[in-house]
Amino acid sequence: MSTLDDQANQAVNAETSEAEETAFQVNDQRKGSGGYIILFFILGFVASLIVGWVIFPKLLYSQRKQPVEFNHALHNGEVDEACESCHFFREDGSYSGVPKLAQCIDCHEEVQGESEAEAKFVSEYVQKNREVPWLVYSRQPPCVFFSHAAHVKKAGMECVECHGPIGESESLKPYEQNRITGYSRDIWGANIAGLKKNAWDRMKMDDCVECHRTNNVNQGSVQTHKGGCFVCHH
Amino acid sequence: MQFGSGGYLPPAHSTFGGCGLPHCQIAEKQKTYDNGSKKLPDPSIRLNGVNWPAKIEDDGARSPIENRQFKGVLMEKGKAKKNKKFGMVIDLDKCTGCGSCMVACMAENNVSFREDETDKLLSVTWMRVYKLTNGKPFPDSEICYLPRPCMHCEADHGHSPCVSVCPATATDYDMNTGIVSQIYTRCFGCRYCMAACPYQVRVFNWYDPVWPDGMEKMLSPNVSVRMRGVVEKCSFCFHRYQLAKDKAYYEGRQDLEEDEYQTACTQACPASAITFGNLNDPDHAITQIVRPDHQLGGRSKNPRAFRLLERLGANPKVYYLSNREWVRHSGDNYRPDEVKL
Amino acid sequence: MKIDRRSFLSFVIGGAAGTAFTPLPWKLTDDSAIWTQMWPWTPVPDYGEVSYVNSTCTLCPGGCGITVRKIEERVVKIEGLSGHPVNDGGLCLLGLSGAQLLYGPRRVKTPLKKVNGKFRRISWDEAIGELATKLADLRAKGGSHKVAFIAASDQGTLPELINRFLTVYGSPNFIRTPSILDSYELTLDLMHGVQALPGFDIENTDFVLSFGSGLLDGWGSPVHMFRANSSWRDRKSTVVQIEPRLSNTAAKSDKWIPIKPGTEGALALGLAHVIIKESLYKKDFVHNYTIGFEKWRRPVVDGFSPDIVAKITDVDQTTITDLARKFARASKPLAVCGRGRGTTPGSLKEFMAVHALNALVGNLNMAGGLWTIPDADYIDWPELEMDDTASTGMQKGRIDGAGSQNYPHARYLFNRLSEVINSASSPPIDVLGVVGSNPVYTAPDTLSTKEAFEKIPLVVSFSSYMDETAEMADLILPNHIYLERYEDVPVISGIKYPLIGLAKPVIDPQFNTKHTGDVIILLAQALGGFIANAFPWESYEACLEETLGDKWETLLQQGFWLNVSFSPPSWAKAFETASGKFEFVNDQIDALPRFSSLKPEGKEASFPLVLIPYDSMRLQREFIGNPPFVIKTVEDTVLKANDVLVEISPDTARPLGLKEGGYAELSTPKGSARVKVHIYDGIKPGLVAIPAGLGHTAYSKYLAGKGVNINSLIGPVEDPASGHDAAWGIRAKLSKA
Repeated sequence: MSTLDDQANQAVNAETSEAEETAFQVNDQRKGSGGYIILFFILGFVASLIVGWVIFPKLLYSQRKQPVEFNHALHNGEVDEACESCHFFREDGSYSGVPKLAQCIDCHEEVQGESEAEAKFVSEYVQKNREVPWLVYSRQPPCVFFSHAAHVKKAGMECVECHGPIGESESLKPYEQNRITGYSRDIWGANIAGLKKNAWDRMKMDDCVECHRTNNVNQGSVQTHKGGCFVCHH
Repeated sequence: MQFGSGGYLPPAHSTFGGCGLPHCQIAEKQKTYDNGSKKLPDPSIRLNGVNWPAKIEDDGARSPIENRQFKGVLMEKGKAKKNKKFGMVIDLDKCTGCGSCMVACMAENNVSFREDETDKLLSVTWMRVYKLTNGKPFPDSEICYLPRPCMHCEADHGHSPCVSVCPATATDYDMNTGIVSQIYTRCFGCRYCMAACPYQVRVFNWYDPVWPDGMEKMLSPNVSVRMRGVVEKCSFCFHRYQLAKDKAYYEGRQDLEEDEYQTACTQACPASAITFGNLNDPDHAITQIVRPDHQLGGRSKNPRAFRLLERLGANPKVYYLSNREWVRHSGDNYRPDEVKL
Repeated sequence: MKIDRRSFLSFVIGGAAGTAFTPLPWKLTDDSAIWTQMWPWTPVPDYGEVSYVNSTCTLCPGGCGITVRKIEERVVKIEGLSGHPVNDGGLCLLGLSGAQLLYGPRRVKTPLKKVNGKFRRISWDEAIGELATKLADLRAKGGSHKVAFIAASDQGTLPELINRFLTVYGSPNFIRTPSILDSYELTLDLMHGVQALPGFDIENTDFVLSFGSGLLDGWGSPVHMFRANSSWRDRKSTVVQIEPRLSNTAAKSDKWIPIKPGTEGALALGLAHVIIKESLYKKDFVHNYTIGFEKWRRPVVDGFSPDIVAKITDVDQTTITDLARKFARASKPLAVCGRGRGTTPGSLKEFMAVHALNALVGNLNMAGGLWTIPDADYIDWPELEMDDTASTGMQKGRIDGAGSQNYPHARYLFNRLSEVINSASSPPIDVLGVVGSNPVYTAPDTLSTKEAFEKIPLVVSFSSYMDETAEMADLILPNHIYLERYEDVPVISGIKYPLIGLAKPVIDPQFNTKHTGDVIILLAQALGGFIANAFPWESYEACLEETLGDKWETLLQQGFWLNVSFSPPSWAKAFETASGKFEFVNDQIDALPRFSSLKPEGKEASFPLVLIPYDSMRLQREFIGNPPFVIKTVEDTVLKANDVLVEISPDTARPLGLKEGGYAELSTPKGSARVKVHIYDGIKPGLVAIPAGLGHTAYSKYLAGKGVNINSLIGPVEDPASGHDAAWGIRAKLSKA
């Protein structure tokens, strides 16, 4: 980014000095290249838009496939307690997150159905007793303390409010990892401009703060006069 | 009354500025030290004939800024909810200086260690036990140990010395708990807070933390591992509060019992010298021991109790108990003519 | 159309302007800011299910209950177990840093054999096979008594297994590392006629008279003592500490009596003098349940009047008289002894003098007094069948001379070992096993200990850590550490109830280690015959479960087994001496040399000062060296960089021209060291105090090379009465360097 900026600055500087020079020159020279200049400007403008909106996101994120294909919708139809059937709370109030192999084995000790993914899952993981290295879309940086209990149990929020309708998905999207930060793309959101339509489109700190402010939760900070930092950080 | 060479506390005259807001009296309070009185100055005497703090929290009267900013937290489901104010009282007559609190803290909070930890200015320690001596020659010499966590100063409405100076909003005073937080990822290491802290509780990470040979397996995920270049300090094991609340929420409770949230040092102390709890809850042991006088900036009504650098007005939430007068007097910097021991 | 300079610039400006309308600059700014928040090399611990496993800490004899916090299969933290009779939730700093020992950098990860001075990895089968062959050869040659084992305790199944192995193999040489337990056991044996452990009802006592015991510096069961101290504060009990240095114990006491070191026994007799003279003793007990009082009182009354004692001890007469009166008039007084942490057995006569005080005030087996606790008796294995080789071997005397004519009372004399080995023409020990101890570091006179160890043809270390002894060993058969293994721990550290703790595996073994109990069983099986028959168990765990019988379930569930209904026998039944009474004197006691204060080694002319070691909770001086967390807590007035600071009083420093923090050369008859000086008002002039527990050469870089090992400056001084080590200090010289 800095390189581009520098170039832009140089360009602006150069342009200024150019302007001073040309003031002493004859007019017809301008007439000759005027159209081209605008054309090149537009060319540069469009090229950078393409770079910024199309190429940059592709370069910024690396894509990885999940180790095993997974159908949330299918499972959701089989279980009794919706999301909490697999993504449950432990007795100490902590949240179990992505299920461990031991939970899957409850049903998947033998191959169920005829899908390729199922066969792979059983042979690669169940039979070898290896944990599946799931890639977690919503993993927050290590400095973040997020209490599922506070949001789900105390505030009564639905999973979908932050995670979206992932429970209805039939396949897992590729996991996109930011090459600079190392975090999942879902934190910034799919939209490279950082725009969101739904509450679950982004998981940035601003989104947490916004909701906390609206609902007047833990607004005890002296420094910021709003949310206290220790509420979500440790 | 001298702090042993194991460490020292800076003189009360080390200054820190106020936050500049009209309600902030910290800068002005500096003037109260040298009133020339031969008597031990009463910490309650404040400037301009106004008792400090002007408003107290418990009686329902709140300063304008609190009314403006924090009204929301006070109300929950139509019921008044009192803010918590976690504090600690340490009985120095029971403390044996064994160092359990220090290690309990290190193990709980992923504190790093290096090959040579004898330069105490570089040594990362949240809880540090100081050795006080009465300065008398043999055989009248006495020693006393003084464990020093972060004081979590409330100062004037949360304008703790460190919070007031942090340019990065990395440290903050939380009115809900009375805990001074430190967010490592926010800190950029300017160390203003270290200069401002009258108690030397803050330490700077001069080095990258290294855990040898697989020892990083003992790191706890509940506390961020700090990196080189940031300041860290005691958090009153805030993550334990978070985890205890999680459990309570899971069990459908809104509030915690006293014993559900205790710091690691409190729990480990073999002498049970440390009592931790909510100073705003009259049922908590700490409130009954300390009997804080909210009219006088939280000063204790217990004659055995004192706070460090009481006259600074930082309103720390860590209290100490001792029967020995010289110990109580080593908590502050008195001129020789003020105190005769 | 030609691309001239202006067109190019136009293109660039267009590009820059366009970029501003893309997310690129803003996103990169944000991402790079996030990147700087967490360097990739900073470890990020994983979340997971938290579980707690209860166990017993075996890092010292204290017997604390612990609860280990695990996240999935990682040990994250060790905490004290609430409700445990010893520590009730509290824990000392060593126990708290146990995870650093588990994951520590100096674990022995696999069996090692020294070849040409370097350790080489070998398999367990090879290691046990080799050792078994060596033992079989030695036995065939009639040298079975030339095998010895050193262990830290003689109680519990593991020491008993070792002892059983030695017996059936044919060696009497099981050696326990020394401690004040040696002297207390002897005192109880001679005066009560019982084989028992001392138990202190410290929770109920209202006057504690400590003759240099570091009650708050690691004596007894440290955490238990801290709790007791808090209860003394709450109950307004009195604690009097008699020692030459203002230790933490002295600092917390109600009265500190700085005494000339080594004369504590004389002070005890001086107090007895006042108590007898003023008729303050408990007449009911003394008249009805003791014998030899008249005979004992004569020398006490004649030779230990306050004025005489004042001269011996440097404690003034009024203090002595006052103290005696207060002690005798207290409702539940208790006198305890054993200096510092109690790592040196000390003078037997001093123990007996102090114990006589307890008898005078009649606190034996009474509330707030000293109780006799019977040795644990749950180990009930089938009678041994022995072959002739074994019987012959067992009849040969012990190598350390314990139980012989010269040392009839001592059971183990670890302190004589180096001397015996070094003075012999051919090695009296061929194979030495070292279990749960680190004698090369802990034995006084490091130089001669090392010399002796070098002379032993085969030293086998069972240590989990690369400590000083393991480094010198020829074979290391690493044990699991206490968090990875089962072990029963009969608590011997002064708790007033019979108490057994159970250490159990909280985590799978991290390395290729093996339980020493299993190694012993495998060795026996490899040796075959009667030896194999003596070990009918398939594993240590099976042996333990069978041995503990109905206690096993309780131990598994609760972590400890406590005989709550225990009460010490009444006076009428308590004494098993010939007279059936408490004996102030008897034939055996009479045969011991008369009481006199023990002098330190060295001549005053060349060594004008006296060096004394001091103990601190923050420095471990026994088997376990300080883990990184613990060494971190050491004050900079004790250790600065790699230099140890010795304490001297300003009066001692001045004539020597020594200043705070300055270097000095400290020399004793045993060695010399470069030290720094800390001027301390809390020490008697003429003394130099040095912290014990530093000066390791082994363990990790976090500990090795820091400070000086006190044992390299001090040697053992044989107690004329018992033969145990009674050195409390050594003459020394300090000069500016």
